[in-house]
Amino acid sequence: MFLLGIESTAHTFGVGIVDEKLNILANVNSTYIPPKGKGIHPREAAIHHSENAAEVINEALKLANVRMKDLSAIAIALGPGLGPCLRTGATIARFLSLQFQLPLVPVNHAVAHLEIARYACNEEDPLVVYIAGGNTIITTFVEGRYRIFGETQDIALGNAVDYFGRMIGVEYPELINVEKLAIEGKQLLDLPLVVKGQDVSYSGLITSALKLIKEGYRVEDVALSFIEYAYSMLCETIERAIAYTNKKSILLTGGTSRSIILKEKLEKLAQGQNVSFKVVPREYAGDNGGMIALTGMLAFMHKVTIDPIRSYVKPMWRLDQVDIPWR
Amino acid sequence: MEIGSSRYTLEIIKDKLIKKGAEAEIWQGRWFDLQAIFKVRVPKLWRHPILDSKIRLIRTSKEAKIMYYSLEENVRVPYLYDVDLENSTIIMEYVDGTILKEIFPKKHKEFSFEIGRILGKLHSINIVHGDVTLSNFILLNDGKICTIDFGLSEFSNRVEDKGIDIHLFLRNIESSFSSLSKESFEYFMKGYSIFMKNHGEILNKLKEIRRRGRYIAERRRVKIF
Repeated sequence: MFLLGIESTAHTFGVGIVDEKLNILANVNSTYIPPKGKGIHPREAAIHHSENAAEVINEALKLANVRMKDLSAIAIALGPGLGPCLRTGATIARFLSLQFQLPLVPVNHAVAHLEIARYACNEEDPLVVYIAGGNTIITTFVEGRYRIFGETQDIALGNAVDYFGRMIGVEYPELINVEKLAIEGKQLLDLPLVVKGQDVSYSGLITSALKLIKEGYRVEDVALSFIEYAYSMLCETIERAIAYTNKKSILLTGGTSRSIILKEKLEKLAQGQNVSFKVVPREYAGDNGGMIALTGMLAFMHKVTIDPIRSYVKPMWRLDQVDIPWR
Repeated sequence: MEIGSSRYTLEIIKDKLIKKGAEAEIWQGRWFDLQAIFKVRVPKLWRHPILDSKIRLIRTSKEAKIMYYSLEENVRVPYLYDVDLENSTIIMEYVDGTILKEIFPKKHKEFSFEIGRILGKLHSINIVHGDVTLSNFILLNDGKICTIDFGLSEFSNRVEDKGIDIHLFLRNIESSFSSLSKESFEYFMKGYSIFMKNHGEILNKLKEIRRRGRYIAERRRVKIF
């Protein structure tokens, strides 16, 4: 039994293929890179997806050595994400489902990030920290669903770092380059630290950091301060979550898990709290088709399917609205 | 841990760790002739050292200030003995009594009324507690109720923050004593409205808070009192 999963929630069009033993046979991704100094334009990203879809699908099939008629189902990430991007992927998935008479499996993009990390790191019941361009979520599994212990009240951590990076003129990938600048920083400047109970908020931090740049402070110092404050806010809520939930491990997933400085901090935090700490492998950190295929297979084996006619995209589909029958 | 070597010369002893939270350690000990609690905000290795000292200093002094203002307004909280900002430690009275969580069902109306009265008083002087659970109220031997743990407290005049405080109380009662929650809330509001003149506004906010996306379980319930 093979399943093909399609990811297209933001800047990446990805296709993954898994077998019934949850082996990921192919994970092919094509990422839209915005022009220098710009963020993702949803329409431009969607055009990129439609132009590259056929090639990515063919390559994945070739890599997995699987033909369309060998497949048992198609999985599609219906949300959360950018409308135009979601609709492009969903249109392709519906077409494949109808054309080849295959059941369509709806997948929540956030759930997929969690499941791929659990699968790749072999973790049974961790506290999951999911940080990316669109999400900043601390979650654990309780009674049939992933429950959100803490999250961002405005923009995501990845989005905040990228935006700050673009504003001070660093190149893609902004996360890595902002951290490089931060390492050169010497002086820690004053910025607002916004922790509201279990939630964090990053919008005010960006405004204040950019103000410091305007006032003429060294870019390296502002970068250092921005990174320190942003990560400290997150670490604090993670530490609170560990104390509250008593979980024995922290699992980091999502595109921003590529951060070097945050990983260092979390290693120290885990040591202090006497819990283990693991990070999702690089290939599954950012958006990818493999995670949709994997989660799609788990769902399909528990009879989760959707009628293509009803397979509307859900740009605001929250993690804690999804039932998880496989746990 | 003991400071110094001989018990006779000791004045301040911090000798038994009784609780380790996410942010602070709670130690039991003596302060001169008195039994005392030491709340120590420990350094976090994952934080930049300058930011770490700054946060611990600010939070320790804010917590002590909030406790002091509460005492001034006759809200029973542990008496402050000393604030050691250098070691981000608050030394306070060891409060002897029973945690309300353990005896709540015995007199839930009375306790709810009293918690409501205390919270209303705090809110009327623009202090929000931030961690309103039955574990943070202690019934003293003289019958009074003492409020503890101001670690998440804030000075705030925002209706939102006050609403969150009440929401925390309600959620705590629902998860621990769901069959008593309706009656408890009624008595809570009676107590709350003694000092809080704009309790209607806060109540409306509470309803809005409970309808928000995050609290899906509550939203499914038909009525929110």
